[in-house]
Amino acid sequence: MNYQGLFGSPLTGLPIDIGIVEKRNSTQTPANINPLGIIGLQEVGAKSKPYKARVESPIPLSDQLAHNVAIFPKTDRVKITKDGVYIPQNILGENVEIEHQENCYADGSVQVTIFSYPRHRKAKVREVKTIDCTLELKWLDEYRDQYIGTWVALKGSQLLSYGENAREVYEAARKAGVESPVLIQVEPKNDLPFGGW
Amino acid sequence: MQHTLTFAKRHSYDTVLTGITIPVELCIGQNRVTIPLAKLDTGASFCIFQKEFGEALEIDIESGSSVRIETATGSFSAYGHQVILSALGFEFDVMVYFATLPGFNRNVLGRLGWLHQIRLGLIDYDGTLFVSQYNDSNETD
Repeated sequence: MNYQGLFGSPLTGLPIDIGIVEKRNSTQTPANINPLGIIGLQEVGAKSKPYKARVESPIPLSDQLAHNVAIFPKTDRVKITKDGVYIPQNILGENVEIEHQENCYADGSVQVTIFSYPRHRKAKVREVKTIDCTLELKWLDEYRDQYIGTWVALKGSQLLSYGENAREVYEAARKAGVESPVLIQVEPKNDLPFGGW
Repeated sequence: MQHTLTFAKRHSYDTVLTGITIPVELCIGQNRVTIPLAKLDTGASFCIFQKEFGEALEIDIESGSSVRIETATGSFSAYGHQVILSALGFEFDVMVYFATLPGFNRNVLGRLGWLHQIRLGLIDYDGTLFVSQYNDSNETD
């Protein structure tokens, strides 16, 4: 199995179904994986227990693939030196928080567990007032034809500014003292149904 | 087997408008902008907005996390930035994406950034959405 290109998702750092790796390797050790280069990775946002892969310990892969762990071949993308293990960010994903835990053992080996937390699962939530744009949409219905092709900034049924540059229109509305202006690109009314992307 | 879901909030949307329209506010630093015509899109991987909204917020769009997004008719580039997103009474610190394709005029609330943060009920015939934050789980069999 070719393990290259399995990683690098901007989503979670674990872009593939790890179950596929587990299934395909549950009975044998892939020839192209050096157990010395194995690093345990786990998507902690999921409801599974942490898994610790022991670096520098030739544990058979068949024993290590029983959990949600991504296995990397020891390639030029993952560097192991006397100073540590270097893992490219794109393997872990771009929208993740990375933490690690080290355990030293009497035989001199070091166990390193790397956790890749998807940020989106840990977003802070606050309850806020619901946004109501009824008046702005009513204004748009009434004056659309006069402003087609421009950006408009509104507050209720009041037009704050308009023009071809969204940033300038926004700035003018802010200068008028409106904290969160409603910004709309006015387009001709389109009666065609939308078919998705 | 019956399942019962309860939700903290209920919202009505205008069924005359194209799509399921949800007003959204994006905030970064002291800058806030309200986008009145964003669409709920359960098929979209991300929350994606016109780059002009990011520029209004003084975001350097192309300094963000780059991603290529596929559609039925092609693909386009977008850049992710961490913002505060408010919609339907909940506010989250999340990653949203700004499309750089010229003429791009869609603003969608997709999975990463919004749907992952909430529990959502939808009765499209009535134009009704039910929403709770994800952690406010209250499900019974």
